[in-house]
Amino acid sequence: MNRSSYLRSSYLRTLPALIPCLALILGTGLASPRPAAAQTGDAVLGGFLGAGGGAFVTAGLIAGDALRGRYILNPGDLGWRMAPVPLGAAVGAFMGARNGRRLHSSLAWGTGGWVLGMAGGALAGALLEGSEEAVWTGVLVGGAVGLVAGSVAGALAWSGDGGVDPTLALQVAAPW
Amino acid sequence: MIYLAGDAGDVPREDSPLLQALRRDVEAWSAALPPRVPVVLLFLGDNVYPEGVRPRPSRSFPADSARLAGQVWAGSGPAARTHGTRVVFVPGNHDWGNRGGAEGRARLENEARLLEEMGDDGRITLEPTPGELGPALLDLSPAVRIAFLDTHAWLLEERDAVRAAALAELERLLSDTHAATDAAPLIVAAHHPLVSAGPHGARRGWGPLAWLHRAGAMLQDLNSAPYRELRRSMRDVFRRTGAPLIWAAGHDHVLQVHRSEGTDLPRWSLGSGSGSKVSGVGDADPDDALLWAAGRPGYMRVIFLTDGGARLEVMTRVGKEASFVPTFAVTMR
Repeated sequence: MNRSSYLRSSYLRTLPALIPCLALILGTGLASPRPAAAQTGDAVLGGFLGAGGGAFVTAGLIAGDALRGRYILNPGDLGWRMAPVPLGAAVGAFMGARNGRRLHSSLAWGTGGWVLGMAGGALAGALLEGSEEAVWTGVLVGGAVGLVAGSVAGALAWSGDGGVDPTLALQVAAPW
Repeated sequence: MIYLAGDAGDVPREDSPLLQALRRDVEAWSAALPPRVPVVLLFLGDNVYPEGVRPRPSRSFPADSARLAGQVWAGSGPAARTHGTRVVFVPGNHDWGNRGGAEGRARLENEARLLEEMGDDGRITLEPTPGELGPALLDLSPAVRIAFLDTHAWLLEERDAVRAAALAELERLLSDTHAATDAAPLIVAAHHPLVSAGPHGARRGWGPLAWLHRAGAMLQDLNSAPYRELRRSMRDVFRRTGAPLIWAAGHDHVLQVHRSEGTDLPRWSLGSGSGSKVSGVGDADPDDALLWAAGRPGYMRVIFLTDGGARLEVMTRVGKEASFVPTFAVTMR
């Protein structure tokens, strides 16, 4: 199988994750209650940073696999590990379009979780094995976990009035 | 006389000043030396980019075979054929199609079959046999003996017994070399180096990809767990039996010369991996004893002298000239 076939099969494997994201994006475009300019700005910000965060999560997945002795030999092996990139972009864009302040809360908490996760992971790597490789593996895995946990917690925590909102209602508007 | 060129499989010969210069060089020495003096051209892996030799019905097969044919051409001029100059290819990770198992081995077998067809009665070969770790021995005594390893197969091999058997055989070769006072020096030729100041060895850069390199999460980097195990195993053998004179490898797309005074590394570790691609040189580990390095196209030649020593010359292209000239030279003892 050549490189293009591998990339094609890799994208096909991420398709199940992409379908709900595409649906969310479509719904966002058709039923947002916010002014268009603010919606666009936060959607772009959310999409861009969501993709970046997704890339870091992908790196964490790769490092976690290497811990278990499984290595990426060629780009086609990435497969489902690439899913966090479009998923992060879609969720970030959707959140930005729907509610910029919820997005900002998610970004703030996500950044804090990312930094704490990297630090904790580095410490764990240093204590458990002590090699430079173990420390950097901890940075990647811990950072990925912290980033996801923080981002989700930040999105859930925002309630519009500064208090904690125990539920998150995702409104998906479809044209039909 | 041994030529070392690695990672040369990215361009056909028409687009490669290096292959053209290498052919002129090989022809000149093959014509000048008597037949009893061996001339060997070693291609140190990644002989066919990007994914080895794909199956014959594939649309990519003509391009793959052209990349291999260019390297064969470099060692197949009239003088080389008359002299009996050997051309030996070692497998690299790209020759395995950057994969393992039966699929990767099939790519390697395609390459071996193609070399057999280009053939010339066994003058041009792939060593070791596809799927085997090695060592496969080419005995050119009294000048030199060359042991070929497939280090990509080694990195992927999960069976301890298979690795142990290969190590035991290498240990036996090294013991024979060091036990006899008049034994020919042993050169190990493999794709992966034991030390490197290139991108696979040196820590450089910033961002998630650089961090993956630092974490040892990329199999082809010297700090991945399987690669560290390969290096550790080799160094243990060298401590017990004595190290080979030279470990010749490609993999990193730089030219580099390491000289070690220790007992656990080869006296000379030569990196000749800029046959068709070039990378930058990073900060080498101080323990790796880097003597010289450059990130530019080139190849090496090792001339064995009648007094038992050898002379290394690194041939690189200066400016836009087509000729490759000796840029670094050292006497190897």
